[in-house]
Amino acid sequence: MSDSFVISSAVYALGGHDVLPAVRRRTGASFGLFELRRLERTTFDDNQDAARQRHTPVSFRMSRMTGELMAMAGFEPDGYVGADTGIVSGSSYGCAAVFDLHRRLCKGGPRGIDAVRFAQATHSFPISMTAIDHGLKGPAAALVSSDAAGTEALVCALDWLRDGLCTRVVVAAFEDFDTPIAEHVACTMPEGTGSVSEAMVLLLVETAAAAVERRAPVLAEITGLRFHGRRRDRGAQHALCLRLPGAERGPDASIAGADDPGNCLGATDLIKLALLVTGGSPLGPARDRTVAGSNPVVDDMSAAISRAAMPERVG
Amino acid sequence: MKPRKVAVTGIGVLVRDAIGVEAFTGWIMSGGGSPREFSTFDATGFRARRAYAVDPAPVAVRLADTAGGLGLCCDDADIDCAGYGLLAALEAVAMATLDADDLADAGCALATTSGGMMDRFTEALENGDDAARLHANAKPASPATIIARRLGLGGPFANFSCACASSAAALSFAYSRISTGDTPVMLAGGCDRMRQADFAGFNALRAMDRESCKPFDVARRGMVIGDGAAFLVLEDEDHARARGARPLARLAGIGLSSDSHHITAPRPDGLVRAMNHAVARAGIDPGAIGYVNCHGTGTPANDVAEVEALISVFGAGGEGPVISSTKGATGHLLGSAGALEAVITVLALQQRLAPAMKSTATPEDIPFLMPSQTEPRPFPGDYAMSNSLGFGGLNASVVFAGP
Repeated sequence: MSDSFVISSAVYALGGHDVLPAVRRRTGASFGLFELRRLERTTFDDNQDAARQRHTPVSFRMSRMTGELMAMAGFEPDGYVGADTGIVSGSSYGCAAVFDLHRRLCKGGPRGIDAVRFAQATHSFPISMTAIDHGLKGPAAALVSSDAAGTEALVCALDWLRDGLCTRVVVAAFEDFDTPIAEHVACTMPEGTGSVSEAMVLLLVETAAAAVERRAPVLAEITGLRFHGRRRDRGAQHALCLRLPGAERGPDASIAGADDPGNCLGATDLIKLALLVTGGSPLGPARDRTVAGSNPVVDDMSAAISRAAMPERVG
Repeated sequence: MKPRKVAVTGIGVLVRDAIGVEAFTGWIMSGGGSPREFSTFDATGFRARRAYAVDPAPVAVRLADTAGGLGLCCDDADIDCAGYGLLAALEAVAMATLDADDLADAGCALATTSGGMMDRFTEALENGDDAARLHANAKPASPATIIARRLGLGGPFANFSCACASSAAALSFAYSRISTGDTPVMLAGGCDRMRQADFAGFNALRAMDRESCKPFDVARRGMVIGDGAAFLVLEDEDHARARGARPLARLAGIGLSSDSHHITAPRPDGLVRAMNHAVARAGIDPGAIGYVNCHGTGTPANDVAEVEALISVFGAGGEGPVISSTKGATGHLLGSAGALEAVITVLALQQRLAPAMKSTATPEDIPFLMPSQTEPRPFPGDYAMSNSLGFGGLNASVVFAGP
C-alpha cells in the first residue's frame, strides 16, 4: 500500500438479551440445543419518532452507531458530511427484511406487499439510510457474502481509500436473525447444537493524513493486506496486518470487559478486530498482529486472529 | 507499485431470448425482445404481468451439455440456484481460454438481488412443510459459492447485493483485486432468478409498465423486470498478453457514490460524482466517451435524473456521447443488470455501435443522440461508459476502453 490507513474508531453491539424461543414460530418443531442470541431491540421498538418509522431495526441501529462512531473519532456533528465519507457493510445473511417480503407474499398474496416495506427490502437499505441520515455521499456498497464478509467489506474500504474515492469509510458488519434467518441458521447447525449471536460492528477507517490533520485518535495503523492464494485443497485467505499504538492508551469504556464474541457469522472478523484495536482482546497486549479471515466457500474455516507472520506484500 | 491494467478477456451472457454471446450480439444490436406473460410464478394478481423471464428448461439442457463436455459435475440443486450464472460463467471462461491452473488462482465477485433460494425455504416454513430439507443454497451468496466451487476458483471471493448497483460494486472489487496484484484473473458478473417478491414490490411501487419498458420515451411509464446472467473475465493485461489471450476491451475506471437523499428517488448530483470519478480514474476527459449505456429504467424519475446528470458531465450542446438504454430490450435484471450492461457496453465498443432501442418510439427531446427503433447508431472514440443507479441512491459508473 502506497498510502497509510488507520482505524480511528470502533463500536460494536453483541447479542445476548433475548434467546430464540425453543420452538419454531410456525411448525412447532424444537430448535433443540441450538442457542441464538439476539440484540437488544427496545430502543427501536419503543421509539415512535417519525424518523424512526422509516427505519428497519438494522438500519436504525447502524445509523445510531454511526453517530457514536464519528463522535468517538473526534468529529463534530456534521463534520463528516459529504463525498469524502463512504460506507460499506458486510454480512453473511444480510437483512431479514428482504426475506420477510417472501413471507408476507406467502401469507397475504400480492396485497401483502406494500411499497414502503418493499423499499426497505434490500440488503443495502441500512447503508443507504445511514448515508441519508448522516449525509454520507462517498462510495457505498453492501456485501452479503461469506462468513468473512466483514473482512471483505474492509477490503472494499481500503480499495476506495487507495483509489482516492474518499478519505474515510464507515465499515460495518452485522447479522440480523429475524424470521426466517433464525430458522435457517438453526438448520445449518450440526444436530441442532451450538450458539450464534446477532451483532453489529462499525469501524472508521481513514487515510492517516486525514486523521493526523484533525488530530484524531488512532487505534491501529493498517500496515498490510494480502489475499493468500489457494491451490485446490486450501482455502483462500486474506490477511490484514496492524500496528497498534503504545501501551499507554487504555481500552474504550464502551467495550471494556466485553466477552469473547463467539460466532457472529459475517460479523465475527470485525468484532474481533474491534476488540483487538480497542484493547479488549483476550489475546494480550501484543503490538503487531495479523488478522486473518478465511474464505469459507472452499474450506468452511472460521475466521481467526493469530500471531501469524506479516504478509508477504506490505505496501 | 504501479497499478496493473485490467483487460476483459472473456464474456458470457444469458437472457430470455438469447443464450450465449454469439446469439446475443445480433439480437441486442437489432433491438432485442419484448416482454410477455410468463409461467415462472402466478402473476395474475398483479397490476403489471409481463416480464422477460428465462425458461429454465433449455438452460439446464445447455448447461448439462457444456458442463459435461468439460467434465464438470452440476447437480439439480446447483442448476436450480445458479444455473444461469454457471452457464454464463462457463462461456466467459471458454472465451478467455482459461485452463484449470488459471482458474485455481482466479477469484469470483458476484452480484445478486436476493441471491439464493431463501424464498422457497420461507415458503416451506410458512406452509408448515419441512423447511430444513430446503436449507441448502438458500443464502444470498449461494450462487456465488456454487460458481466458485464448480469452476475451482481459488482466489478472492465476494458477493454483493446493493440493489441495482450490485454488479458495478462487484466489478469494482474485481478491478481492484487485479490492479493491486492480488490475483491475475477475476470472474465478475451477476446472476439472478426473477422472484415473485421483487415482482410484487415493483408492482406495489407502481414502477412497472404494463406493456413495455420505453426508456427516454415521452410515453415512458416504468420498468419491466427480467432475469438471466452475465459474466466478464477480468485479467491483468500483461498476464493476458503473456499467455496469448486477446483482450476484448480494457476496464479503465469505476466511480461509486451515494446520493444521501432518498430511498427511491434518484438525485443527479450523486451520479455526476460517480461518472466524474470513473472518467478521472480512466485518465481521460469526458469528451473521450463515445457511448453511454444508461441505467435508463424507463421510470419517469430515473430518466429525468439521469439525463440531468449526463448534461452536467457532458454538456447540453449536443457534443456529448451517443446514449441508449437496453432495458427495453432485455428487461431490468436488477442486481445483475450492471453486469449484463457491462457486457453490452463491451460489445458496443467492439463494433462502435449503440444497440437499437426498439421500444422507444417517441424519443424525448434531449441533447444526446440515440439509436433508432430499428438501427444501431455508430459512435466515435475509444471509450464507453455504463451507468447503474440503485435503490437508496447508490450510483456507479464503469468506463471501458477499446482494445
